[in-house]
Amino acid sequence: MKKRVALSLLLIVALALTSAHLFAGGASETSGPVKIRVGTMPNHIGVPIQYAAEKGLYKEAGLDVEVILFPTGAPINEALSAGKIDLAGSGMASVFALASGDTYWLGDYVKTVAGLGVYVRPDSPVLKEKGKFPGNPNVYGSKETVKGMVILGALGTSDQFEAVAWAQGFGLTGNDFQMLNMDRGPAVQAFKMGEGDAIACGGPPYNYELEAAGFVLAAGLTEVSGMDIADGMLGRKKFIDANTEEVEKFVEITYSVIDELFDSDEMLADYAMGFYNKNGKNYTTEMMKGEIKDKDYIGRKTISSPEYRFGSTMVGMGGFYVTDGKIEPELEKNIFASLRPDFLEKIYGIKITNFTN
Amino acid sequence: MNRKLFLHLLISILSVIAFVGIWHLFTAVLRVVSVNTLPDPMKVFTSFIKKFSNPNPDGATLLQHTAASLQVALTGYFYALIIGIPLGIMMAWNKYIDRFVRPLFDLLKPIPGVAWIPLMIVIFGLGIASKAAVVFFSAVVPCVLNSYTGIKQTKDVHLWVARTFGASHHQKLFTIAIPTALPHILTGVRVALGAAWVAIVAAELLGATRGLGFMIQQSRGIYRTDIIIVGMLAIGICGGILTSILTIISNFLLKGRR
Amino acid sequence: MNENIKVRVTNLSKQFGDLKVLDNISFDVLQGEFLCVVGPTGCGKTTFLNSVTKLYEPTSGEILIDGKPVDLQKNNISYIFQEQSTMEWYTVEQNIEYGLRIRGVPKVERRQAVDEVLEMVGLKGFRKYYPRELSASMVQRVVIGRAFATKPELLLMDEPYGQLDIELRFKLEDELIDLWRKTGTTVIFITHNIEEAVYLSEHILVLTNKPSTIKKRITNNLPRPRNVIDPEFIRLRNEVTELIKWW
Repeated sequence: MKKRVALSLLLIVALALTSAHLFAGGASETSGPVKIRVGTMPNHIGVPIQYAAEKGLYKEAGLDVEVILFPTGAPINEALSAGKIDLAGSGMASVFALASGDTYWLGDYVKTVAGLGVYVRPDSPVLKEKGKFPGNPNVYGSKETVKGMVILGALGTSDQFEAVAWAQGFGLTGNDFQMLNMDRGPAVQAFKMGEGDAIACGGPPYNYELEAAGFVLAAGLTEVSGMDIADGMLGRKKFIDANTEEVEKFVEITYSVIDELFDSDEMLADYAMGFYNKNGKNYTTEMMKGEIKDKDYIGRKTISSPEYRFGSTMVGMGGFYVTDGKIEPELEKNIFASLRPDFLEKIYGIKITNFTN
Repeated sequence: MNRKLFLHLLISILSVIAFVGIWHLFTAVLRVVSVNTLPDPMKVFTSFIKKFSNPNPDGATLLQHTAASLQVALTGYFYALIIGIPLGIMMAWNKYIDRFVRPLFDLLKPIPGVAWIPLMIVIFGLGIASKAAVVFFSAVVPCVLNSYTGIKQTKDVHLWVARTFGASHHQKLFTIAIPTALPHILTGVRVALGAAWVAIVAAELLGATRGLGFMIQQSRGIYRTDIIIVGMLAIGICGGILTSILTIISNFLLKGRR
Repeated sequence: MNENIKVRVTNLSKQFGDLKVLDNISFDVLQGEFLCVVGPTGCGKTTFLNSVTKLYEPTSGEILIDGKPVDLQKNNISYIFQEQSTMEWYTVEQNIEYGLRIRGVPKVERRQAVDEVLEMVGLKGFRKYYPRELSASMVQRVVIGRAFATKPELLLMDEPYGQLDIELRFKLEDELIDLWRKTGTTVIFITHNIEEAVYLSEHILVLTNKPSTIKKRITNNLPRPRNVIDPEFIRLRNEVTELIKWW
């Protein structure tokens, strides 16, 4: 009898021990400053956040920030959805998080001006066709040459967007070609080895690698979509509503880093290269220079200009994905509702206009 | 008799009803987590129905994905059967073949089929061949093992009967050993099917353009948990149907036995 | 050489490692004879039969059938084993025609032979049944049917009725005698049941304990049908019993 009691007690303790961590994820710790778990990627999007964290800028402001790195935006969305991270610096994939209605968009902070687009091999039939893309005569390809292609790239990212936008220009849809889902590094390797007919490039440094291998940019993202790709900051509604003050501080510090880095390419290059290489990428000074040319950080100067429209990428992308069927039409309104320019308005003391279709 | 059957059926259905009920309670009623994190049963059901005709968000309908998965899985599975079963039989029947094959087989046996994926992609590329190969490696092991065990069940007395009638080695194999092994072989065939189906989904998660695993992978990170669950359901249902078909076939083949 | 000798066993010995089981056995079996081999339990009766059919290779000695060494491909031998030996994956019909199939007998002839045998062993209505659907006695009849279907020149039986109850055994024994008389096949029947041996045999070979040698060969001329309570029957039974006890 005693044995049985002891055994059941042991069992209960074991259960409690093993299951405790399962539920610890969502809740914040009780004492001390609120812990902010921020997910981002070891690329240009992660640079300002990682920099601020590493230099102790968040800590100085009394924030307890933990940075968690992810390979792409898709797992960041999963982590947000599961409540394992609170805020994120992320790319295109954010639009799905916004459409879910569970997150807010806090601000765009880095824009890609070049390097994104679909690359093909020099002998591709696509390159024999030019001028058939409505609105941009520089884009290669035609309805016939694009239809049925196998395009390598990471799904749910700008890779897919640029490929679909390209196909749509010829009156095709995302279902008229095959997108072979691969992470970006492996995709480049596979394309070099002869897999697929084209590759949707996710920007630096992959565009340099593809160009060095002699592949040709058939359709640049901006050319085919007429859209800028701006990455930015988002977070879980529940967390932001409960910790508005801390989130505001976080946004303020991150943007202050951007304003600082934006002023000094050299400093950015030095820091970013170290950050990338520490995370398994092999960046050369050349590549870094190229990236700085292809990526513009968005700080006070851009945001204060009267032409600036808050959340343009997310709203534009949302519309695109609704057309493409990736986002259900009734969810599009969630994207508009998720835009929260008020943090930046308060930080910079200005009035910001939201992007509208 | 009939009442008992009805009762058993009722109990079986109850577990499903209870499961769906609790699911409904925690999602639709209590909303413990966001609908994006875990959709309620009704939402999943409507998505399931819609997915038959709607290629969004992943580019193909449920039936197209299912057909793609089935095609690859059954290709690899078929090769696993026609290679694995004879190999297992030969290993059990001929000790020289056993000695020759066994070290290699024992070495490769513990490697899960899924672990073959990266290598197969390097060798065969991203098409049907690499995934079929992964399915093959997953399915061939239970085929070999069960065929081997089955042949080893052969009773001496049956071999003696054959021998006194003057049966050749060959005749003993085909009239005694293989029929003896048949129930085991068929078990292997069923286990292999399960393994094949698991492997294809895993292979599609890693590199594919179509298939149920691909559909699930596509729906990750874009807040379409409903489609993920639809994919899981489709995998479960297909696996169930395939297993039932095999059960019918093996019951037919094992007619007259226990 | 005597034309009537079906099987000639000369100086047969069998040894498993250090264990000598059969020691220098020599005897003849006549054409069409019903020979019963009896001996104390564990005296190597089964080893003896298995050596005849070369399931075991004899250590020394020679076994000739019709003056030639045993060749299972050529000699038409049927063997009914002690263990249950129907093949559960075959129907009654398929079990019975098994030996014929192995020997490549054409289908039509097989069919005819099976019909005959089914009639003989009384399983006519059970052609399509599987062994597990039959009773113990019917299963035993299937085995006997399979053995007779090939019309064997030599039928070896190793305690085929050991597991059956008395009533059933008597019935099957009578059936066996019937079949033997109809077919005229030579039978070597091993049993530890003396009554059974006296009931069935024309000759009884009594073996000694291990290492077995032949104790005595007894001729059994009791008229058939035999009666187990006939004084002559009892006398012969007692004689054999004494021989077995005497070591």
